[in-house]
Amino acid sequence: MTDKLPPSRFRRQLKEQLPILESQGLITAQQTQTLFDRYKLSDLGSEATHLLLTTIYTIGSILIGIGVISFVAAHWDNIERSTKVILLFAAMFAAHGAGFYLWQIRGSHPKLGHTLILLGTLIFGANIGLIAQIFHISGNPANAFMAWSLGAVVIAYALRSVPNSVLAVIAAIIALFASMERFPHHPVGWFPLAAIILFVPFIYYTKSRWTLFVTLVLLTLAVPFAIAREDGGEFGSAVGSALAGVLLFAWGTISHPKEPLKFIAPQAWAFGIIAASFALYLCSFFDFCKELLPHWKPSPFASFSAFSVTSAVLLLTAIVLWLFSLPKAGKIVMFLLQIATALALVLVAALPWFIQPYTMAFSANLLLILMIILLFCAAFAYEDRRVFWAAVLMAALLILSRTLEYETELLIKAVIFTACGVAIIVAGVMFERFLKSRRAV
Amino acid sequence: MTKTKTTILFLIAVVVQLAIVALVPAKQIYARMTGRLITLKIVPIDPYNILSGHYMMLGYDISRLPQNDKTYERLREIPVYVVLKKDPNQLWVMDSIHKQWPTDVSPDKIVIRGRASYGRIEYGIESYFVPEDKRRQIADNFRRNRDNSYAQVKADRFGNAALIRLLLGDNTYEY
Repeated sequence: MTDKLPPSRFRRQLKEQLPILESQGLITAQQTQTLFDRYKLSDLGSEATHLLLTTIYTIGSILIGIGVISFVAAHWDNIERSTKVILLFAAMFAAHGAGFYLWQIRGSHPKLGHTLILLGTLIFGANIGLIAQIFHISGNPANAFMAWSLGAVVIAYALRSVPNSVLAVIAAIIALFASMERFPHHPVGWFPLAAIILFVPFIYYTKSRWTLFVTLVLLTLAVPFAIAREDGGEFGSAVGSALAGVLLFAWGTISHPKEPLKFIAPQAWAFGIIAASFALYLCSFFDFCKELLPHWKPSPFASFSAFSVTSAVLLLTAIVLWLFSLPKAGKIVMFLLQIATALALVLVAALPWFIQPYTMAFSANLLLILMIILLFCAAFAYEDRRVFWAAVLMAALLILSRTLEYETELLIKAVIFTACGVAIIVAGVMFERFLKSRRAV
Repeated sequence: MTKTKTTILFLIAVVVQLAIVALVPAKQIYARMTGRLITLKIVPIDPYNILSGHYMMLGYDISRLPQNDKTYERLREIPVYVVLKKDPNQLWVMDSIHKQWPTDVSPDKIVIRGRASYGRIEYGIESYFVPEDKRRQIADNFRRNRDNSYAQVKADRFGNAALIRLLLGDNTYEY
């Protein structure tokens, strides 16, 4: 039995039910006590208070952060430049110092202290912008957000602080978008690598699901951005998406067999599938391929990624899958999904030299259908509702997109839309019945 | 982790944050301290929309690429080095533009560093932040004195430029 406790809602209900069961004579007082201890029901009240306090502290610190920013941004002009700078640093040090004192030195208010350190990092970010303003420096906002991200991640490592790491990743995501807007030659090509170096060790270090989630969002966006930027073509976004797909899916597969890293697998698989199918979805539009494929001049970087990364990843995950255990019947499905993401990368990144836009769009559709079928298989193998509904959603999106793209007659459209609706409902009912029968066994 | 180790790590992290913030204005502070004061002609980039939030966007005469030179037009974010000389009105104007740091520059001229982007050169001195209550007044002044507006800038020996004050007509603004 693992130490992980069930959701607090269940525990609250259990806490209410236990005295009733005891009074009805269904369980003894000793059994009540055992269950009380087993589910740590006496901690319930303080846990709720902790959560409430964390929420209040976080909202409070964000508001104070915004307040400080607005106060200085009002650009009060009666104060000397040097005094302004000293005030800004003082605010940052005060928040960090008070936070560290309450959390680590006195230890009396760890949550409040931690939140104050988050506030310190928020003020640090504001200071970057405000100092630039005091000295009339104009520049790329992306640089400011990158600097913010760097400063936040250093604090995150020093104190194992998940909120600071999440802030760092969010600042990096903003930097990514800011770099796209103004400066085409911003070194956005380094973003994926920098993100892996900065944030992935933190995920391994703290096992934080939150940091993992935002980092996966960052990587899913950064790889397409990087390749589209480096190769100067919008088709590169599809290539990058496919590359992100195969890499993230493989990360999930590699993490799965090792117990402390197991938490990475479901999220990484999900993001891998999303990225790979997004690449295929883009290429499934004939116009997308027709307009952009002729302008796509793959750089050595893209072709390198297509061939070597795919083969290395396939080899590695095949070994991992067969040497270690993947749950039950899902093993083969997961391997096929891995191959499907790899095929997506080969199709999008390596084949444009040899095939026509029409063939590309057709193959992308076929591969997408294969992916959907595999997802359905995975849903049945793992008895997972979320995977099932993701597959249903993808199937519906694919059919609707193709119908709208090829402008068929209204009558045919009506038939297809109705059939889609009916199919979704029937599939849902069937899947629920399947789950029920499985769970009854 | 022991308390001492945590404290040391935390102090290092705070010093890193401090260093990052201190690096932001480092070049400008150096230019302010050691640089040579030069006066440059400015115009509003967009006369109908002088204020952009907290700041005014300044268009410098030296931001415009030479009409007859097409070398820099298509460049994106490429560092360029601009040699400035003094004209008879004591204003500094563009003398020449280079992709490498020019070596044989006579002492009466100055080199400043910029980035060629979208057919313009940016020097990082294009924004002037103004106090909230004076924004409208300064913007109106700028609009009225289009042909009589100047920025005073300090340029150091490494080509860094720091914006010091604006001279709009008869008014001087320094914040």
